[in-house]
Amino acid sequence: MPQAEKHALPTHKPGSIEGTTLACTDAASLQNALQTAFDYRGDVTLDFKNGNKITGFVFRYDESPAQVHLFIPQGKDSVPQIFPADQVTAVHFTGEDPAFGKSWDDWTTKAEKERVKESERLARESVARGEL
Amino acid sequence: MPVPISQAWTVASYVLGQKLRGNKRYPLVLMLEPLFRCNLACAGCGKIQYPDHILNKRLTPEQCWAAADECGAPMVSIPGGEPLIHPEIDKIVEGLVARKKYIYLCTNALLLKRKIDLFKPTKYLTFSVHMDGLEPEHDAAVCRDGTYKIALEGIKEAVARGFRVTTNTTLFEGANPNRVREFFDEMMKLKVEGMMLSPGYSYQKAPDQEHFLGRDRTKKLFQQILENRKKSWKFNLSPNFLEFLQGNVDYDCTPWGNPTYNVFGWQKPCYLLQDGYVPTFKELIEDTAWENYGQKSGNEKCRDCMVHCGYEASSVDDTFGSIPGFARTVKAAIAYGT
Repeated sequence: MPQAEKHALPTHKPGSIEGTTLACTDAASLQNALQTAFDYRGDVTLDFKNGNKITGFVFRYDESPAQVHLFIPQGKDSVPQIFPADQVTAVHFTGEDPAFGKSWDDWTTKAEKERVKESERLARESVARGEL
Repeated sequence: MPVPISQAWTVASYVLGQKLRGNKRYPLVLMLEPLFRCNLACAGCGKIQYPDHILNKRLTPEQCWAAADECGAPMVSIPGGEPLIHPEIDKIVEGLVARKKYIYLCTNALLLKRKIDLFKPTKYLTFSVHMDGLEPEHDAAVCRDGTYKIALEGIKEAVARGFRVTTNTTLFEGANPNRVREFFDEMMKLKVEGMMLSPGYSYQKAPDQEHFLGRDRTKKLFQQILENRKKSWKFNLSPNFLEFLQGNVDYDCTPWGNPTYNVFGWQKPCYLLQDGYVPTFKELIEDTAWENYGQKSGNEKCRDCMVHCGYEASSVDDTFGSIPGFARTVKAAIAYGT
């Protein structure tokens, strides 16, 4: 699925924060939202005080000076950009949570047939990328 | 002798040099992750769960060399992701060899036979092949049938061509000591230089936090595996680290010993935890609150960790830190044949 289509999907993933929003109403909620965005494995969309919305992957969050570093998708790649943290008003967890359902227990509780199918699909994807 | 004398001498002189300069926080092995993309998707892995645009990112050879120069560690481990996917991995290795770094290229070996012509055998380059046990255990651990056989072929090819080859094994909860011992026999039959071992421990962001060994269980498991060890087994590890794994000696973590550099920058504080990133190695060393990490710090995230990226550097530091430490190493080295 193209990266752009992985955003804003309806979420039905208990245990994942995908699809949720954290509002930044004060310093504590801002810090919590950006730390959660840093810990999240998918892309997020940040709302800014000037009305801008930026979507990307938060790979770094510094509290002092308060800055949030994102990789912004551009085609198949992405470019880094830095934003002032105090301008963020909300964090939307819009990107697919790539860690969801990927634990060892998730794997072993799948039926053998399903595991084989998934393993073959992943192998096919690697071959298609020229990695196998 | 599993590790060439030149490598042992390089490491020893480097560590002694750091000690003489009074440098308490020095790197031993640079963990260089040139990409996160992998051609396997092992359940529970915390290194590959990113959006595609992050998985598509690659460090350039120049970035890799700059990190090695900046860090100054005598050894460079190249994990990932799967480094053989990187289109310029040969160039990266070539530049590191030119810098006389001892490189451990960590690979699942699925591409090794196909890409081996890109490399030339040298004492500086070791293929460290990820093998998590005999065929059923390995294929189950990496969630794909057939990978053990392919890896075996890759190892044979690399050994036949004169490359240095080691295996790299991570043990998880439920590992059977007798099967691990059988696995050691099989690996040594392949004429690998030595075997690396570590208990598994969760990356902070890994989706699996349940199947990693606690400290007591780790010690018991390694005692069972290594008791009455065979002389044919060779380990590519510090002998004191093997003693540590069995609970015969206690160390605290040396999180700065194996600093990690990847597409996000220098990772704070270690290879497993991701508490932030900084753009320079100097900032990593000077600005990280190291006292908050390691088992003795009381940090919950470090409580059960006994992984080589934190404790092998501790054992090497012990070797050169005191006469008793050196004596322990010599005794253990004779016992393990390392």
